[in-house]
Parts: sequence; structure tokens; C-alpha cells
Amino acid sequence: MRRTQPPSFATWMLEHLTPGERDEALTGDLLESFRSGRTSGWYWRQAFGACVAGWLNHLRERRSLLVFAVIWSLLAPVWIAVQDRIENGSLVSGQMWRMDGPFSGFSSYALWLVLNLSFIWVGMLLYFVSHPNFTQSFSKRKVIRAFALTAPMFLFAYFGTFVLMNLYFFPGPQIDRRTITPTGEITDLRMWADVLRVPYFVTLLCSLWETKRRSRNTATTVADVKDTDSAVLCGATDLVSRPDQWNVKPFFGFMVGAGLLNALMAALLLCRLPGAHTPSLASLFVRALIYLAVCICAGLGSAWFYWNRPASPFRADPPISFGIFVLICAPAWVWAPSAMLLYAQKSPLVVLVAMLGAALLAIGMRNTMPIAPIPAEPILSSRQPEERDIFAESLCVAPIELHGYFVAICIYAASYSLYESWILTAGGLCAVGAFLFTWKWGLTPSHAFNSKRAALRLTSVALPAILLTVWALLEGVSHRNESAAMSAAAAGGDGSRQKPNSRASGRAPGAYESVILWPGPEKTQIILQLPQQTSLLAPGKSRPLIIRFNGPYWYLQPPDNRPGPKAHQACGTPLAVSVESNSSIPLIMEAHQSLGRPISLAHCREIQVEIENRDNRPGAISMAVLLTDSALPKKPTLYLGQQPVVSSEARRYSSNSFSTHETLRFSVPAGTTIREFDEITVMLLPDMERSLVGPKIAIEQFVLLAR
Amino acid sequence: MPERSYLGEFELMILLAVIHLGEEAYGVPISRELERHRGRDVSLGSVYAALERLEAKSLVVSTLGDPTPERGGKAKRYFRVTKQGLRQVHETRRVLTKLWQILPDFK
Repeated sequence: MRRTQPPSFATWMLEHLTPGERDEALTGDLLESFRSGRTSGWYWRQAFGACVAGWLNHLRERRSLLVFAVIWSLLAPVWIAVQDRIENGSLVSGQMWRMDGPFSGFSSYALWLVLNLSFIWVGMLLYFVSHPNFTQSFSKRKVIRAFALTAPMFLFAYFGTFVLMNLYFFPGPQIDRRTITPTGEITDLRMWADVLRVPYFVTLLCSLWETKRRSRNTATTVADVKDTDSAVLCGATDLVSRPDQWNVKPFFGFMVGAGLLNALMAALLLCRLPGAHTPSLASLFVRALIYLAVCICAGLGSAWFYWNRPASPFRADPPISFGIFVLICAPAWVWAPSAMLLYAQKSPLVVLVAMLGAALLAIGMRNTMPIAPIPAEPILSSRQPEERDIFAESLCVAPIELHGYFVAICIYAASYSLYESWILTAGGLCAVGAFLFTWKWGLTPSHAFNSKRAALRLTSVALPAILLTVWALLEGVSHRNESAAMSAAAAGGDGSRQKPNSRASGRAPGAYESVILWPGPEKTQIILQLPQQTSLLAPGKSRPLIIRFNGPYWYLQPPDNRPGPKAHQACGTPLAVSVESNSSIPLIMEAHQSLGRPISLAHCREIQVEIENRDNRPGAISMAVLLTDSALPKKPTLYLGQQPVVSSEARRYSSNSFSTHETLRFSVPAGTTIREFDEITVMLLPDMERSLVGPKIAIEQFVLLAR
Repeated sequence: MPERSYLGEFELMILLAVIHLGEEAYGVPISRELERHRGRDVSLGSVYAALERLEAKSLVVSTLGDPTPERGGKAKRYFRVTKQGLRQVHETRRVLTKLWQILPDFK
């Protein structure tokens, strides 16, 4: 007896495991065939085949997305390295993100999420604009949904991956990021690097999966066939649903934003202070001109790129010429170098510059753009009053001015940001406020803008921008020289002390950006007055020169190579104090001995470093020695090599040992790049596993052997 | 990324079957037609996948019929070739014929 019903699980598979919309026609066809005499085995095969074919078709439609997600997630480790720098405040000031008190944890997580999402959003934007006709290929609603979906999707993928990986591969990756280059990060295909990429890949894939407009026409019903019959065999393209057109105005805004962002990025990356301590005014002027030109080129390049994209609505029918567009935007771009230079000095003038640039941009756009309607004056009488009878009087309802509320919020938030010294945030908020204010309530132009007037306007704006940039450069150089003098004074032991100011530095209470540890009870450096070198390391003398170590120990984190002006200074020995990193960035420990008088390298054969090791943590430590001639302009350094600290090696290490004395020998080469030295630097380089804690090793003395 | 404009072997067979079946072109007859001429079993899933690709290229259009009890209340999905589809079939035939003609006689 034959079955009349097909295997129910196979039917369930068909209905639930095929991708996309459930296709009941296929299920009906299979049922019809089954009832006409097909076997259960045939039905099972067909159900499996339908699932596989459906998924293959689905993936095939999204092959470009798959390829893009793989390529973009390959870059994720590089972004994580950049993110580490941003989070620790070396690239962007950490102050503006961090909050004290109970919100400190929240702000860290928010910053982490925003940074990660920025990477994904940039990827998504690239994916969208890389399509020739992205306005038609993607529906606006789904694009917005995709962007909104990234945050929960990333959190889910990240924590899922984190939990799984820690369950199976505890204790996690041991990657020395200091030694990895950006190219190395991209080409690193080890398992842990791939694990880092998984959340980004999953988020991109899941967010963008459904964004593509379904190219298949929705099947019409038989009743509709009568109406659409003529469409069949006479152009099915009519049945393709028309895409909703993106507005031209937002695209214009997008291009203005892209140009401005690119100019700001160029300024942030390229505008640097001159290397000279006392640069001439002419050189600063030339430098300012170059910076302005670079920013204009960056903004122009970005705008040109988007203007001429195949998907750009301006490519075929521009509302204004590209030249006019550039002339409108350039008065804002020219302020980018001065804004970034002032920002580097933490100057509140950034706010004024940002407001000025934004206002100029708004005036230009308002005066020129034919697509931008001139907003109506917010006069109460110009609006149709809505009358309501309340008691005996009729009340006139005030119109709601959303722009006004937004500007007010910007002003309040900017004031708070300024109070908290978040200069960049304040600048951004004030710029938005100034733009909105000028856009909404600026004066209506008496004459229409043309290219001649726009060029004249750019010239008149560029001149003060150049002057401001020159002034910012001068201020920057002066500020830098001042800082260098303060550092020199601190190194010279003038007694100036910096108390830990966690609020000002944006660090947690009790944490410091770097630490200087002086070994003696006195927090002053004693400059060793060496006898005449002719009597000690002169040729023919075999008596070694012994220098007791009395310099400071530096504890800092890369990319810093010296303690900052706010470094915490304390008195103690590394054997007794414990200095730890409060982040995942390794700690660098250096010991610096200033000799006071230069010693000729031609007379020195070997330098022995005698140390006391009281470190009882596992992990090998190496020592490197550098000699510096600080009298020469660029302070050239001679690297004497790296030696392992034998007492810290695994075979010698014992947690019970109290203290070990050891001597490390560094031979001085005969032919060197420098002739003499007056500073000895000892670097202690622990293994990665113990790099977050400063080694408990103290330098006792240096023994210099005559050649 | 531009869509592929030429027809695959399976897609061409399906288009021909749809043209041949005319008003009665839905999943079951199309797969039977293919089975009859190819002499082997055809997966309905792959037939539908190919039909969806053809529909995405606007070479066929589909309409839903009325649900029938013998199909468990599921509607049939009828496919009809478009003018563009017909043109594509003619073009493929022309190219294939030319290619066959330039081949030397072989046994």
C-alpha cells in the first residue's frame, strides 16, 4: 500500500531550511509529484536537493558581499592596533572620552564600541558606494536598518567569539604587538588573528545580508495576469519595481561632509610643527601655505571622487558646477590646518576656528545652492496662527523651531566640553551650532554667487587662515620649546615636582602617564664630576673606571620614548617599589646615567653593568645598553647590544631566591658612529608574559674598562 | 557587479521547456520535460533556482495560480517567457549554430 503523505520531516525541511521567502510552489510541486507515484526516497532526495540548491543560489547572489566581508575583516587586526592607540590616548586625546567616577567603565565600553562600529560602518559605506548604482541596488530603508543592526550584531558576535575562544583556548593570545607591522597584521593568518577577525566578518555579513534589493519579481496572482498579460513577452522590465530615489540634497550634504572630513584628516595626519627650535618666519609662512594647499587638495580630491562616481546624481546633471562647489567648500577647508595645530596644543581657540569655518561653509552653501531652499524667517506673524479658544482669549501657539533647540543643545554641550577640556568635542559641537545658526538665520544674499565672487571670497578667507596657521605654528614651537625646557629642568633635578593629577591627565586616580624613580633619598640628580679622562681611561691605563649608578629609572609605555611633562616623580629603588601597567600596553623600564663629562669611546673597551635582581616573577628579562652623546645636535646613540639577564632565566629562576647579584658585559666596538658619550641608558626588556610589570632589578654600578 | 548576460546550458534547457509548455509551464511539467529529453532525474530545487535566476534577468516572469487540494492547498507558480527571454534564446541559438557550422565534420 502506498503512502499518500510524504515524509513529514522532509516537508518540514523544505518549509524551514530553504533560505529566503518560503516557496510554497516548490512544496506543492513535490507533493503533486509524490502523489502521482514517486517514492519516499525520491521525495527525500528532492527535499535535500532543494535546500542545497536554494542555499547555493542565495550565496551566489551575495558572492560580492562574501568577498568584501572577507577582505574587510582581514584589516581588522590593523584597526585593533590603531584602536589600542586611540583608547590609550596617544592618537586622539584620551581626555575627551574618559569620565571620572562611576561612569568611567561605561565611557570605556562606549568608546570601544564606537571605535569598532566605526570600522564596520566605514566598511559598509565602502561596500555600498562600490556598487555602480548603489541608489538603485539597495533600498534606503534596508540600508538604515543594516547600520542600526551593526551594534547588537557586533556585541553578540564579539562576546560569542570571546566566550568560545576562552573556553577552548584559555588563556588567550600571546601576541607581541610591538614587533608587528601593519602589513604583518594584515598577512597574519594565525588562528588568533583569525579569531579577531570573526566578529567583524560576522557583523558585516549579517548586517548586509538582506540589504540587497530582491531582483526577482514577486509572482503575481492569476487574477492579476489579465492586467499584466500584455507585459509578458513585451518587456518584463516594466514589472521591475521602481527604486525609491534618494534625495539630491542629502547627497550634496554628504559630499560637503566628505570633503570637510578628508581635509580635517589630512590636517590631522600631515600638519606637524617644524623640527627647528627657532624657525624663520619665511619658513613658517611657506609651511602654512603648503598645509593649506594639502587640505584643499584633500577636500577637493574627496569631493571629486564622489561627484564623479557612476552612482552620483551630479555626474550627469549637476545642480552647480564642480568648480563652484569647491569654491564654496574651500573657505571651510582652509581652517583645518590651524584648527589641528591649535588642537595639538590643547588651545580653546580651536572652538572659534571651527565656528568660523562652519559659518563660512554655511554662508557659501546658502548663497549658492539652488537646491537648498532659503529658509523662511522665523517670525511669528508670518505663520498661520493656530487659534484655540481658552477662557475668553484666543492663544497664539508659538511655532516650534527645532533648529533653535538644536543650536542651544550644541552650545550647552560645547560649554560643558570646554569645562572638561574636551577641546575637539567642543569644537565639533560649536561648528555644528554655528553652521545651523548661519544656515537658518543668516542674511539673505543681495547678489547671486558666481565663480568670480566665490574665488574672491576664497582669497579673502585664505589670507587670514594662512596668518592663523603661521601663528599656530609659532605658538606650537614655543610651547614645545617650553615643554622641552621643563623636561630638561626635571631631568636636571631642579626640584620641580608634579603631583599626580588624575583629573587633568584623564587617568584613573593613582595612575600616571609615566614614572620617574630616583634611587637616592634625595630627589635630585647628582651629576658625577669625573676626573680628567686623561688620568682614568687614558691609553696605557689598565685601571677600570667605576661609576656608581645614581640616575633615574623611567617607566613608560610605547609609543612614548621619554616621560611626559606630567610624569610622576618618586624616590625609591626598583627593588622595593612595584610599578604596573593599568592597560594592556607593555611597560618599558629604562635606567639613565648622566656622566657630566664626555668619555672617549676610543679609550673604552668594555662596559660592565652590575645589577641586583630581586624579581621573583617568572619570565626572562634582557638588558640593552645605549651610549649617547648629548652634546651633538641630534643626540646620536650607539647601541651596544642586548644580553640576557641570566638570573631571570627559567633554569636559574627560583621564587624563593631573595636577591642575586649579576654582571653583564657589553663590549664597545672600535669604529663607531660617535666619538664620545656622556650618557648611559640601560633598557630592561622583559618577555611578553611579564611585560606589564616593571622588573625589580636595580643597577648598582657601571665598570668601564680601558682599551 | 554586472549580471552575466549569457545563458548557461541548464538555463537554456529550462527556457526552451517553458516556451514549449506555454500556458502550462510550472515546476512539475518543466522538470518532467527535462527528464524526458535528458533521460535522467532532475532536481526540482535546481529547476526553481535556475528559474529564479532567469527571473532576476527578466527572461521569464511568474504568476501564482489558485491553490488546489491535490497539491495540499499549495498554489502553482506558472512561468512565461518574456520578449527579452525569447530574444536571448534566439541569440544563443544563432551563436551555437554558427559554432557548430564552423566545426569540421567528425564522426
